[in-house]
Amino acid sequence: MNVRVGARRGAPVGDKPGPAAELRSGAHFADLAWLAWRQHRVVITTTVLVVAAVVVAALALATQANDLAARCDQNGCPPDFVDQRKALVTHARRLLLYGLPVLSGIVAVFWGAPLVSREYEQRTHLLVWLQDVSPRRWLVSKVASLGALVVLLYAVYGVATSSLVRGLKAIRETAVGGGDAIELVLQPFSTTFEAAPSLQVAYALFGFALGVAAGAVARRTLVAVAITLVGFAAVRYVIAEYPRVHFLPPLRRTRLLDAPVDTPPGGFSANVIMGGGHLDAAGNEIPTPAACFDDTGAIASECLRQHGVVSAFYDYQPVAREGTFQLIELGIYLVLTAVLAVVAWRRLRSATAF
Amino acid sequence: MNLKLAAGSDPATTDGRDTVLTVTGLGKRYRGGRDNTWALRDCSFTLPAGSVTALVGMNGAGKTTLLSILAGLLTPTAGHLTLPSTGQGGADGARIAFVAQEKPLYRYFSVADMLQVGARLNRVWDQERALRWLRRFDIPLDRACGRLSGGQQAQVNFAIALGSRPSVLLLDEPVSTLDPLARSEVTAELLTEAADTGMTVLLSTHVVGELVGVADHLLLLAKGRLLAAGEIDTLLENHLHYVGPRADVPPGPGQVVWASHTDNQSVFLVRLPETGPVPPVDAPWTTRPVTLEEFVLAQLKKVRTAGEGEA
Repeated sequence: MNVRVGARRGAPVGDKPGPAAELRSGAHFADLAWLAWRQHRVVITTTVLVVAAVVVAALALATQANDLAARCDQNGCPPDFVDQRKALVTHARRLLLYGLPVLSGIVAVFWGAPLVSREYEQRTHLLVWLQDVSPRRWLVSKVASLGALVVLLYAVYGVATSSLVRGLKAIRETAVGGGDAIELVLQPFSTTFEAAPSLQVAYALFGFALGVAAGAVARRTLVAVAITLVGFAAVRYVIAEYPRVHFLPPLRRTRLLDAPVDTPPGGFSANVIMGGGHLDAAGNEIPTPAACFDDTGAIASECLRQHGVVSAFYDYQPVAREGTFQLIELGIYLVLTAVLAVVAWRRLRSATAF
Repeated sequence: MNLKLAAGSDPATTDGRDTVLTVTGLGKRYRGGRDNTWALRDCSFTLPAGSVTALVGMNGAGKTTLLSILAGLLTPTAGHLTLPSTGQGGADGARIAFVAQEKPLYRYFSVADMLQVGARLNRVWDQERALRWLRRFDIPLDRACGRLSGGQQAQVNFAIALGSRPSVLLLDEPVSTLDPLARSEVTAELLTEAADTGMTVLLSTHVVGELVGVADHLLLLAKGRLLAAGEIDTLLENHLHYVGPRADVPPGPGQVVWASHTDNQSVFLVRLPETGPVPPVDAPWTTRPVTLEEFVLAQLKKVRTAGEGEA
């Protein structure tokens, strides 16, 4: 029987693997990295091009901002400074406002969500998980190789956005201008906070892990994409809106009634004001008596004193804490990423027997 | 997974060949379904090394469930399967390849890319063997798999499975997507490959006619239970037809598997007692041997009539 099959090329055919049969210790990381690249090369290339374009734009704007700031000296700024600054801030704001959340969402939706779900959907898990590589090893190698690329890509992106933020801050230092949105862009604990390379990497890794876990649970690409999109947007929005400014208890500034208001370091707009009110002699917070408001909405100090108010206060989150808060947020996202990775890993373990 | 390696033991089958796979009390119940039925129950059998076993059953009998458990895709609810340890988990150990019914391939990969997937993800890879198969069936190596016909996609799946040089090849409805001419060619080539390498083959089908001359062993599955298991020749030798005038009982010894009656004729398919030769029957009764197709159909009809039956 071997004759007929072997005759075609005269190749040795027999009971034992011929010289053509290759015997190896097993699939290496490079083999699975090749598979990841071969499977996802279109979406990888597209993402790299998009990120590269945004990085180039951010770096160009940063250079422009630094050049513009350098043109001002102690005698003031050139006459066209205000117009140029306005145009630059508009572009920078658009890039930071939309670019920061959207770019990490690309990784979540287009890299993470289809990674496992498409294998189930196109039934190719029956092929790829039944070779000599276990599904878990397949998952770890694939996530590691693509994840390394995500780290690299978004670190570069974060460096570019951070340098744009530094350029904008340099412009703000010139103290000439106004009439543009620079204070809006440079709000503390907001866009500039998220522009850090470490956080950009963490957001992208979180999105990637969320997509992979959603795909492993849902096993349908469209469902996984929907879960990922909603989940990523919700987590990013909620953490940015509520807990971020509460990572540490705010600082309090107290003044006696009628004493001048003391501003926090950097001024009010550079910090986040959390609220304020009145205190009694013992330092307890008491509600501002409604009777003390006059018709114009102003408060009469004499009235307050009669109601036992001794001092006024405001709570604020100092801008100097941004670095610490960035570390805390980084930790939160890395923990979330790890939890999602375990979910995906456990899910794949139960999907196959060995 | 209850995949125990029976180190040191040398389980031999009735025909003296080594077993490559032993299945004991295997059962699978799917969770979540409203009907709490077992997709597979109390399955015990052995696969002799180098045998070609046909897994036969109607649609929904549990064939894919059984193959999926053997392939390691599903964890059984009960029972376990044993592979003899012929090596320390290395390339010498039992390696199982599974060709799924869906014949899955990456749509945007070329056929050559798919072979590279097989080469990179397996400890053993025989590129020449895989290429030979593709050449044999004129599959273009540079074409994207998504643009191949269903039959061609099946051929690429076969090539990958063969290239990995498995000791056990599991095929779920292997020829269902092939045209009649390709069916017989593929079957013949698979048997050649199996014979050349001592590979054990387990293939599922619901078309009994395709099995004649292909399989030497039979696993007959209905409603998740094993109706018959063993060497086909032995099974057929142990069964007999009695044909004669209308009667309620067969004229000779044997347990009736299936009987059919017309106004003036009765046909009994019986399972002969284990001991002693069969005494000749008196005229007008005659006996005739049982074909594989008749055997399978009789067993399945019996189950359908009885609701639940045993071989």
